Amino acid sequence: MSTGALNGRHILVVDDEALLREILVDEFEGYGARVSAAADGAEALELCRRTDFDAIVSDIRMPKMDGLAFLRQLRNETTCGAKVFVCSGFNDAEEELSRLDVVDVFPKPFDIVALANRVIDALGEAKPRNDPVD
Amino acid sequence: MRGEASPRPNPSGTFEPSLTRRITRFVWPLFALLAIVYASFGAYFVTLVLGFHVVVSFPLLWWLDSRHRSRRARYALLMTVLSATIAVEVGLPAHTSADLFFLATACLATLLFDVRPLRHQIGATGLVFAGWGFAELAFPRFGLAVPWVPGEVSLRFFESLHILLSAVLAITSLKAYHASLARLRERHLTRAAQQHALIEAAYEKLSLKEKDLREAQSIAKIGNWSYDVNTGEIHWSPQMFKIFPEAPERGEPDFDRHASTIHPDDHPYWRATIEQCLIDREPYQMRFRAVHPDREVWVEVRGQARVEDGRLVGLFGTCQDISSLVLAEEARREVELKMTETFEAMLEGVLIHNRAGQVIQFNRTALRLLELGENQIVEFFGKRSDGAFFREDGTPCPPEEHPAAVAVASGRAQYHQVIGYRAPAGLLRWILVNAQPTRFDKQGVAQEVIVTFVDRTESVRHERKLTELKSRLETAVRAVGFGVWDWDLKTGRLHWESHMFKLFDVDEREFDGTFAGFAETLHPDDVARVEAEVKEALGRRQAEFRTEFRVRISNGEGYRHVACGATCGYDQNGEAERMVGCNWDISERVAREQAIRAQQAQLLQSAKMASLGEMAGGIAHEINNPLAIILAKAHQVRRRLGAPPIDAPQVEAEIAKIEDTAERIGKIIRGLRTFSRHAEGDPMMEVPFGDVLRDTLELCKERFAKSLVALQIEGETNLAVRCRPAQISQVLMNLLNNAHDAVHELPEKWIRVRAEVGPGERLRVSVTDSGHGISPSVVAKMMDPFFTTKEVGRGTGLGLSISKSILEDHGGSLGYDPTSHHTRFVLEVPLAARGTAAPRAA
Repeated sequence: MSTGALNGRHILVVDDEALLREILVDEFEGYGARVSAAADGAEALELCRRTDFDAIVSDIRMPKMDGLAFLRQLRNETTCGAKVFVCSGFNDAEEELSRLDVVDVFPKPFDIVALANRVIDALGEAKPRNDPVD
Repeated sequence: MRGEASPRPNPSGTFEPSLTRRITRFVWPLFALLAIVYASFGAYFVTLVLGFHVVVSFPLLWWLDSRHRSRRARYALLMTVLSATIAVEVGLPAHTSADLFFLATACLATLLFDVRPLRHQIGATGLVFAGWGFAELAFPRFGLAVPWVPGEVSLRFFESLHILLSAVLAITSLKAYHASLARLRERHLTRAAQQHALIEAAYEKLSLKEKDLREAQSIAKIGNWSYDVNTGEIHWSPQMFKIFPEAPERGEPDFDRHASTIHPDDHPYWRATIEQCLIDREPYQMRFRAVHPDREVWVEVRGQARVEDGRLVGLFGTCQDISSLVLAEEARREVELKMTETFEAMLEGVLIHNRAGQVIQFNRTALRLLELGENQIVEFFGKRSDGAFFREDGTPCPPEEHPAAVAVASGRAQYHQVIGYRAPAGLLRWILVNAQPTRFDKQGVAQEVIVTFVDRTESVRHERKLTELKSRLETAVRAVGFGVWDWDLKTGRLHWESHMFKLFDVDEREFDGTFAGFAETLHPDDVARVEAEVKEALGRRQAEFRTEFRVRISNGEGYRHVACGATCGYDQNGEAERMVGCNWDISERVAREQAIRAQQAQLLQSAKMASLGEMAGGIAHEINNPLAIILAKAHQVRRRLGAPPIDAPQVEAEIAKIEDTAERIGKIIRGLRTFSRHAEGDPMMEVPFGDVLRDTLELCKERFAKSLVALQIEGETNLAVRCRPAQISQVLMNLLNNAHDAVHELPEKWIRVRAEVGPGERLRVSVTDSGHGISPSVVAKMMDPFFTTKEVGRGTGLGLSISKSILEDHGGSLGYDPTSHHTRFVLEVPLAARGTAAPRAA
């Protein structure tokens, strides 16, 4: 894929594992996206209220507020149109994830290339947005 | 004639007939010759006279001597003869005074045969004859005319002849007389000597006898005494001086002095007895005491009166020292008394009766036990005992079956026979009887029987009960399958009841009855232990002993578990004397226990697995994240390597991150491995507690982080403890999980793990959470297996109970501390010995 496949996109990465956040941020920035990171669901929710993201890549098992709670809140509170990708080391709650309109679930350890492609594919259909921050 | 045998002694003391015979034997032929001579001369008158003497006088004399020894008879005869001769002489016409004279001298001479002494007799005879001769010579007219001899000459010749004859007769007689006299003297001397010797011998014997008597008297302490009533003299044998306190040299005492030696209390009696004898002259016997200066001597006197011509002249008798006899009698009386007392005091009833069944002797106890009076008991066994006796089984006992009757009939003692007895008063009692036959006659038949008996009613009842109990016990033992044994420790003999052989799979014939024989049946590994246990128990004088061991069965192909319970008996020195016990098969129990243990191990494992299951999600996440990081990082590195310029330090840093992350995974895996081991068989290790804690935390800290439960580790966690790390890890996991579950929804959530040195060389670790304690009702039960406060599916309820048993197995403990405001569990683990185990690098 080209390095600019995600230009102009705003992606949110949520994971309590710092190294993983780093890697994901690095990866998506490599595709030209603007990436924000949150360490847990509460932080992520806060960011979502303020920003419109194009895609959210989230882990499930996180302290304070786990991924499921975050997504539930997200759907309830906001009209966030972001496409949600879940990558988790925890393999249950698939049913609920589908109800929460999760695009795809990547069980850990995931293939990061596959994840990036999937995001790119999913976002490729959408129009780039004007990001006031950009 | 000379030298003839000595004459027989003549009892009447008259002259010996043989001497008479001898002399007249000499004279008789002479007279016969003279008679013939005178007859030839025609002096028929002289012939007649001489012939008369020859034919009649002398033979008569001899006959008289031989038949009648009496002097008087002889004289009578001679007088008769003389008278007859004189009559004849006088009657004849041609007599001469010379004939008369001759006759007279002849008679005289004959008479003189009896003159004493003999020598006088014979001498006199001779003199007479000589006188006659001289008279003839002197006075011729008295002469005799002989036809063929001239008148005077013949007269003188015959006169001379007469003188010569007389002289010869005299001399011969004299000689004979001397000889016989000498012989007589000799005989007399000999006889006298003999008699003397006899007397001497007799005297010797007498003095010996006297000595014997004295000695006997001395030995028997008998003396004899006599008392002369008239003179008042007392004669004593030497022994008397010993019996009475008199000195022998002072001689016999007089009556009064003697009386003073009699004991004052006996004096009146003594005096009275003597006086009585003096009056009635009857023999008497009395006993009294003689008082010596230093002692008293009991004396028995037997006395008798001596009567002469109807007058009492004295008393005599014996006296004996009977002190020892009196003492013996007293002793015997005492013994008799004692025996009677004993006999009466015995608790056993004693009856002695004869073959006919009559009772000859009985004691008080017998009367009491049989409830009979003295007058009833004598006839009891004869008739009245019918229906009174019963056999052990309750049926009436006929008299001949009674042990006494059996004993008498058979001659054998009967022991311990139980007989029922119904007294006249009515109650049935049981008595235990021994019957002993005695007084066997010459045919060996017992004439009497001694019966001893005691009331055994109570004891018989007890015995019956005991037998019943015993048989019940035996039945029970047999039903349960106990083997009973009895080991005499003094003799070493081990006795097995029948079931033991089955239990030990041993042939009864092959068992040698010793401890060694028993040891042979054991599993070789158990022999030493069992022996040591027995020795220890006996050495400590334990009253009871228990052990378990394996027994070889089926020729060593299998083993059976057997338990043993025994009691030990000791003698008064404290030496082990006896062990009695029983063994029983516990194979089932052991198998069950083994099954239970296996089940427990499985449960443990299940609980662990359940625990793990609870954490699986977290663990998966814990592993997955690092894996994802590694993969992603690797991708990043590849990308960088694909897009020069390559920033080598950056790449280096990224690779380092990959390694670190891999290490993270490694830790988790280690923790998992540690936790999931089957750790019961692990050896105890000495590890720092901190290492175990960290390994455990690897598995669960994600959970805590997610729930935002703060975990604080404090204290001396680096101290080494002696444990099985896997098991301690499990315990910690259990406590931490419980704590997490308790606080993760509380506003304040923390868990504090604090380690410090506790008493008894143990590490005290407290796991406190921010909860507010556990209610007492739960505290009471929470260590119980399968108790849980979590909802179904959330917890097995085994955690605490297993954790507790793990710690106890380690020699530690797990407890709940109710004194803390918060929920606090305290576990204690033994510290390792000093100077061991360095902490593992984190």
